[in-house]
Amino acid sequence: MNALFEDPALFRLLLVLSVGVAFAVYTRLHLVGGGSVTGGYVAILVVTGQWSTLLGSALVTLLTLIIVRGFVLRFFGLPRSWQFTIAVFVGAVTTAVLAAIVPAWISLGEPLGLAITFGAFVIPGLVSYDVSHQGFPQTMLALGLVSGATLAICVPVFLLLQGLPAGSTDDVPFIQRIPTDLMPFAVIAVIVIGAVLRFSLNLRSGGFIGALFIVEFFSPEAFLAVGAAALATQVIMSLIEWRVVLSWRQRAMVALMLGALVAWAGLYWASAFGWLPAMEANLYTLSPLLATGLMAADMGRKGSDVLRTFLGTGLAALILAVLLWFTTTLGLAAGIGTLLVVSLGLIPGILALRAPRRAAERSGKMRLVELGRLTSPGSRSDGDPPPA
Amino acid sequence: MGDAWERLRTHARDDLLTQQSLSAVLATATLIVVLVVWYAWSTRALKALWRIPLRVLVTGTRGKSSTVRLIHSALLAGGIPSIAKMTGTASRELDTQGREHTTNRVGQVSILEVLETVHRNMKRGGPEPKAVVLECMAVTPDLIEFVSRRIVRPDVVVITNALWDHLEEEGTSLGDIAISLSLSLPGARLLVTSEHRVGTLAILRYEAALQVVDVDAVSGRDLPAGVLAGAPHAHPDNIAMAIAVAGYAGVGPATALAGIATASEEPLPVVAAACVIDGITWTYRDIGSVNDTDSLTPALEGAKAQMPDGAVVLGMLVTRWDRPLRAVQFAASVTPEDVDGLIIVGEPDILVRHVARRSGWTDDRITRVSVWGFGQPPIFRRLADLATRIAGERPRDIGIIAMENNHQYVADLVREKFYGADVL
Repeated sequence: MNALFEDPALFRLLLVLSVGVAFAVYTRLHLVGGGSVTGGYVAILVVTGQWSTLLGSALVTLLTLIIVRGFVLRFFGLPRSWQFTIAVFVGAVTTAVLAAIVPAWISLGEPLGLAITFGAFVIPGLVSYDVSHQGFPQTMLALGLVSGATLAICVPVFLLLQGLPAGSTDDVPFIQRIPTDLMPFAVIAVIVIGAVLRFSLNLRSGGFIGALFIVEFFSPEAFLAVGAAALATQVIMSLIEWRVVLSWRQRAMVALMLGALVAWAGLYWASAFGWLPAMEANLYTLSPLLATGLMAADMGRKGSDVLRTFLGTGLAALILAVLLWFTTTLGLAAGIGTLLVVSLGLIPGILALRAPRRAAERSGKMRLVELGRLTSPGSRSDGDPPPA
Repeated sequence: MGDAWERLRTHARDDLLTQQSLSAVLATATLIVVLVVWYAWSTRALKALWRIPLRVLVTGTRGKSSTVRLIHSALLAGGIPSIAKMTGTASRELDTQGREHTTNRVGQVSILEVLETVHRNMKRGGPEPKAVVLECMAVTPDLIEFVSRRIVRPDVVVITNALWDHLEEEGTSLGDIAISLSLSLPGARLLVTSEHRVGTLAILRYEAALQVVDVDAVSGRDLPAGVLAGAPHAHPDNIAMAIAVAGYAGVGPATALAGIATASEEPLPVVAAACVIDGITWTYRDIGSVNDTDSLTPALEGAKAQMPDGAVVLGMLVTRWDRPLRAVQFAASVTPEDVDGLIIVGEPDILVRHVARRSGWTDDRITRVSVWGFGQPPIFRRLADLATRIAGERPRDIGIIAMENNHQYVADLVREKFYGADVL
C-alpha cells in the first residue's frame, strides 16, 4: 500500500465519497458504472497502485460479458435478478481461474484485502451486467466520472490530511480467519449460497459480502453488531424517506452511505468503550462498512424487509462457515462437492422460472386462437397435441 | 465502568483533530450534501408539480404516448395551458405553447425524468401551466405506485388498456396486469380507460371502486365517423379518452376535437422505406413499437399491405435479453402464415428459435444475425440467402417487417440502411 494512504479512515472516506459521486452521476445523467461501489473500488486500486488488479478486473469484465451475452443469455430467457446473479457468478469464477493462473494478480487477504478481494471477484459481474443493460460507452462514462471525480476530490484531501496525526488505534492483533488460499472459494460459495437463498427462499444476504464478513470475523457478536447497525440505518432511512423522495437506486445508494457511516461511528465508539469484538472488527478497513451498508440497502429493496435480510444473511453466514470448515478439514474437492450439493437448493427457484415462460407462450398463442389458427393456446401450430 | 469512561474520554480527546476524525466528518458531510441538494432540487420540482391544478397520469399497455399528445392538444384548444411528457423510445416534452422538445437522454429511462420535465418547464417561460399530462414510465407495480403516490399525485389516471406486455414486471395474466396498472389509482378522482375486454375492465372497475375513484370507460367504436375523420392518424380509442379527460377539465367535445385534430404524431416511421442492394429491392417496415401480441395482427397486416407484390416477406423478431418473456410471446405468436421467413436478432435467440419451431417454423426458414457478427457474411447477403432458400430462386423483392422491439444493435444497422441513423 502506498505510504501516503496508510490510514484506513482515508479509505473509508473514499468509499463514502465515491458512493456520493455515484449518486450525483446517476441523478444527473441516469448512468451507473457497475453498481454503487465500483467507482470507489477503481479509485482505491489507483491510489494504492494496484494496476495489475485493475487490468485483471477489466479483462475479467470483458470475458464475463462475452460468456454471459455470447452464451448464457442466448439459451435462457431469465429475469433480470437471475441475469445479474449469473453475471456476478461468472465474473467470480473467471477471476478465480485467472487468479489461479497468475497468482500475483490480486493481493488476497490483509485488512483492506478482504474488500479488495471481494471487489475483484464481484465487480466484473456488476460492470458487465450494467454494460449489457445500458451500453458499453455509457457504463464506461459513468465509471470514469465516478472514479475520476472521487480521485479528484480525495487525493487533495488526503494530502491536506497528511499533516495531522492518524488517530487512535486499538492495540489488538489482526487475525485473518478465512485462509488466503480459500478466499476465492469462499467468495464463489457465498455467491452461490446467496443465490439459493434469494431464488428459492426469497431471502436477501447483505449483498453477498455481509455473510462473508461475518464468517471472516466468525462470531455471533459480529452478526448482531452488523445487524444492529443495519437496523439503525433502516430506521434512519425510513425517517429520511418520509420527507425525501428517492428512486429505488438512489435509496440503495443513500442506504449504503448511511450504513457505512453508522458502522464506522459504531465501531469507533464501541472500540473506544473497550469492546474487544469492535476493536477487532475495526481493523477491517472497508468490509464492516460495506456489510452494514449493503444489508441496509437489502432491507429496503423490493420484496425484502428487515426480517428476510437478517434471516438470509445469518443463514448464508452459517452455511458458508460450515462449508469452509468442511473444506479446511476434508480438502478443496470435498468443499466443491458440498457446494454443488448446496447449489441443488436452486432447483425450486429454477422450477419457478417455468410458469412465467409457459404463460408468455400461451399469451402469444392467444392471438392464433383469436385468428382461428389454433383451437386453444395449449395446442401446437401444426395441429399436434400440446406437449406433456 | 470508570475505566471505560476514561478510555472513551481519552479517545475523544486524542481524536479531536486527526485524519480519522476529519475523514469521518468529511464522509458525513458528503452524505448531508447529497441529501440536502437532492431534497432542495426535488422538493422544488414537486411543489411546482403539485401546484398545477390538473394532473393527469397516463399508463397502460398501448397508446400511452399518443394519448398524452391528444389530451395535451385537447386541453390547449380549451384554453388550458398544459405541459406534457411522453417517454419510451421517443421521449418528448410539450410546453404550454404546444412546442415540442426532445428529451436528451444520456443514460437509462428513469422516473426522475418527471421532475426534470417540471424543472425544464420552469425555465421555458410562457403561461403558467394549469394542467400537466404525464406518461407513466414505470412498469413494475411498486414503481407505478411510487410514481403515482409520491411524485405525480394525479387527479385523473388514464389506463389506456391492459394487454399482454411487460409480463416480467406486471404479471403473466391479464388480471395481474390490470391490478398492476391499477396501482396508479390511489388518490385520483377519475379513471379513464378504453379497455375493451369485459373481464379486465371489471377488474379495473373493482380496483377503482376500492380506491373510491370514478370510472369513465370509453370506446372509439362509440365515436361517430365524422369525429374520427378529424384525426385520421389517431386511434379511435385514444381520441375517446382524450375527449373524456378534456370533458373532466371542462373542455367541450367539439373544442377538444378541434385540438385533437392539430395534435402532433409520434416521431416513428409509419410508412415503408425501400432501397436496392445487390440488385434486390428491399422494402422495410418497422412495427417494433407494437410490443404486445394483442395489437400485432392489425399492425402486421398493415405492414404486409405495404410490401410489394411477390416479395418474400421476412419477419424480424427484434428480441431483447432483458425482455425474454416478450421474446417468447412473439415467437409463439408469429407463424409461417404471417410471414415467409423469420430473422432473429438479439437474445435469447436459441430459446426463441425453440419456441418458433413449436409455432410451426422449420430451421430452413429461420436465420439469426448475432450481435457480434464476427466471421459472418454481411447482414443483407445473409438475409438474401434466406429469402433465396424460401423462394427457391433469388428474389427480386424482399420485405422486412421488424417487430417486437424498436431497438437492438443489429436491428438498428438494418434500419439505418433505410431511414438513416437519426430516425427513432
